[in-house]
Amino acid sequence: MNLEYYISYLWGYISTYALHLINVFTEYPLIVRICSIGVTLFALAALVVFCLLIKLYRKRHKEYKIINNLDSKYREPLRNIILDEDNLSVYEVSRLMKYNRSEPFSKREFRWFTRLLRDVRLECEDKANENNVNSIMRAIDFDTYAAYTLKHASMDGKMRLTRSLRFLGNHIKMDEAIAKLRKSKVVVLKKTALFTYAWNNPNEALKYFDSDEFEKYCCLYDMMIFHDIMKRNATRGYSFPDLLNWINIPERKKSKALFVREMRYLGISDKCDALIQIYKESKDAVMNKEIVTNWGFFKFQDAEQLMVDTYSYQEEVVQCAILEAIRTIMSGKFSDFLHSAYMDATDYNVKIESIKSLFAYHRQGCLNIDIEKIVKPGDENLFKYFREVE
Amino acid sequence: MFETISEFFGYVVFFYSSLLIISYMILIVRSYKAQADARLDTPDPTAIKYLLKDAPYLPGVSIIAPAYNEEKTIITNVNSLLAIDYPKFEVIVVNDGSTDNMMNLLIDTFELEEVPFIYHEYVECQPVKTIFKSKNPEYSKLTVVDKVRAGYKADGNNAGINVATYDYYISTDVDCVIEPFALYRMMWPVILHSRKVIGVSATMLISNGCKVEDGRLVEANVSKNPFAMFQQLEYLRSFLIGKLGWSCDNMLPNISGGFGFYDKQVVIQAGGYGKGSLAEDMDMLMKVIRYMSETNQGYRLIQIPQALCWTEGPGSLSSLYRQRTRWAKGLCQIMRDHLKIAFRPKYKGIGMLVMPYMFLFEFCAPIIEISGFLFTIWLLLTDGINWQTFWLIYVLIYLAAQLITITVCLFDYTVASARWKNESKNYGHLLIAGLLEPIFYHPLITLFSIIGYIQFIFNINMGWGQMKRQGFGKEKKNIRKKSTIVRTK
Repeated sequence: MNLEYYISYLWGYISTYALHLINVFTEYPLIVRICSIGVTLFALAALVVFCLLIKLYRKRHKEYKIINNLDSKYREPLRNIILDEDNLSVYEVSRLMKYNRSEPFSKREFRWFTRLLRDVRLECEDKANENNVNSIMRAIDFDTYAAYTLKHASMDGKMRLTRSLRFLGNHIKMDEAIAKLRKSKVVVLKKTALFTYAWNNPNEALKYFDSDEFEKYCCLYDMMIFHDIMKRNATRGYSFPDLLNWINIPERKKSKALFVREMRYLGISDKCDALIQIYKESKDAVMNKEIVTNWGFFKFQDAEQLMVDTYSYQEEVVQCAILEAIRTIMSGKFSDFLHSAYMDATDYNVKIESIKSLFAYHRQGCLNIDIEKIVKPGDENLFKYFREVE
Repeated sequence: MFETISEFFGYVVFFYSSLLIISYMILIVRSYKAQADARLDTPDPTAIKYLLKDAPYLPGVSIIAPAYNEEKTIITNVNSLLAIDYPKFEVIVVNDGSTDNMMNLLIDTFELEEVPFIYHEYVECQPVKTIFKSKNPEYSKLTVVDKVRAGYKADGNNAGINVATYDYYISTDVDCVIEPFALYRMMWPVILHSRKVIGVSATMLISNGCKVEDGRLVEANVSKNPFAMFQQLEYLRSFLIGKLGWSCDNMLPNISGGFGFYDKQVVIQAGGYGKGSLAEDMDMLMKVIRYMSETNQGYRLIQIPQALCWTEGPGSLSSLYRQRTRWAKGLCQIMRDHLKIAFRPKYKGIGMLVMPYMFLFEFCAPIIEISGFLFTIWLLLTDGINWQTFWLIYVLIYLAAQLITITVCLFDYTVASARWKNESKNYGHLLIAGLLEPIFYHPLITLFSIIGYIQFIFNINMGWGQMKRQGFGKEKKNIRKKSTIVRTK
């Protein structure tokens, strides 16, 4: 009852003064009225922004103090613990860190400690003892903090922590919380959660890459993560997918070429013959270029004739890749082809690649023509250059 | 009759100013959104480096630095460029026919020797005479191109593009100090976006007053030189509100020539930098956007809030005059060559919004301001001013300017773009500069722009010109020297 009375009293008070203000300006021209409102608004806004600046300044300085304190107190002990070859218990870790478990970190301290731990962990690289990293996290009760943050923190906070979890190794399992983030509408958070989940769950690591969603959002960053996971899976004996199956899915357009490239980076040479059919059917220059580069990289002689046969109707980028592949394979069978490729070349890059290949054949004694006699007018400098480089 | 015209003009100016203020407010909101997105998208430097350093997918970057008579800063700058932390990059210094000792300095310091080279002109430029590489493996990433003088930075950039070996390039100036981590940051959006990123811009700030050692910025300070201080604020405003706000909606109007990142193939397809362009950076971006739009290709342009590049700003009135008249002439060229894309839906936001905005609020602003000033003087002489309204409007515009200044400081602090040494002191300087700028600095800039427009119309001084460099860390010494002379007298 009282509250209603106060609200109506306050409303009456405000509306009276508002009316009074309006009446004061009624007689004035429009410009004056607009300007008066503008001046009031800008003055208030400037004051608010200035206060925000000061508030942020104070907050930042408090954070600097926290960061410096944590750094001076924990950096060295953390490094020693992480580099220690012996597996230390949670109790020992707490003792070495001089961490009082009855006075746990505040949320802000946790945030910066996580970053410090991640930095020290990354500095130690391969020498880090994963068990001790795990013990450190248990000593400070990291799981509780992480679970709370992944559930309740701001988008920034969730993102930061999800990223850090990816670097802190695969022993902390926040699966449930991270699994929820995988359904986030914010693409970048969703992806980060997916990658962290994939990293921490080797057996389910590749689900995302085998989905239409991957095709939709596919970018170089995704492929870098994919490469990291594949490299880890290869060395530790986890599941390893057949990339060819993914390449053969017709709906996949963007990611196809990247998977072919990934075969090269991972050294998968036994699938070269399977790429022949894909090459024959594909009209995508990026895809064809990657396939041809793979053949060259793995010195796959069986595809040489096919490359030569299809050369004339490929785009310039693919033609360059074919010439490079023939040079790398160096079977010595395509001297005439290289000659005609040079004679027909109209694109500068194709011409350069053909001359390079001619000189490479010449060096190996595989060229059945006199290289000095085929120089077209205007190309003297190019030949001179390659002769000098040779 | 005259009264009607004067009243009409008054209203036009009033609504013009109101529209400008509103557009700034919208840009502030969009810039805030862009910052929030950037915070989400971008991990901290350690994480980025860890993710990218060994990745086979990481694209390489060529850094192109055209130079003419830059003997004072060239060695520091090249050292700064070579010290950049990135696995795949090369530095291409293009000598545009320097007449000072710059080439000899480069040859001696970096142990350069002539190398045989093949050269193809993908984009048009003056003939290349020689290409130098270092004998010392420590400088293996350095290439120096010696070419016939053109007198334009655009030509040097084109020569650099012709020599560049990587798919992306950064065009920079030799008076710039680049943060060691800059390339990782610039490359991050390229690898993160599924849409083709054709250009990335980073915040550039003024290095006057900063401490630079061995080509690295060790202490960031706002200069005490008033011209440099005003420019610092101007740069912050331009990058953190203007460009960042526009880039939120993929409508970045300019990628600064001091530190601009491009997809090389797209630039080649677009025809490279324009011959004789005085605003080669904006011209290039417009050409690239037009090429992408006309060939129906999707693209993305990104502005990074963090300051990754520090450039020496004009420290005297004469060099400021030269720079700003050149910029004004460059803007006239842009309007002449690209205004036709305005209001054409094919060019999306750039055509429908950015180009009309640039015409109205960048190109016309000095004309309207000067005419407003002359009009006020006339009213003063004829006693036609309503002082109450005059001061009210003046306070409104002044307060709007102050709001923008404080917001810029807040944004700069939020994104920690500059990492100032003494934050309270430096922000204090910026806020003071903000209070004085509308009274002392802005009228000067307006005047220089008008002079630039006149020079453009009458084809006067249409060359690139040269800025007198102080060299890094010399500002303090010069001030001390001056004061000593005064005392001796």
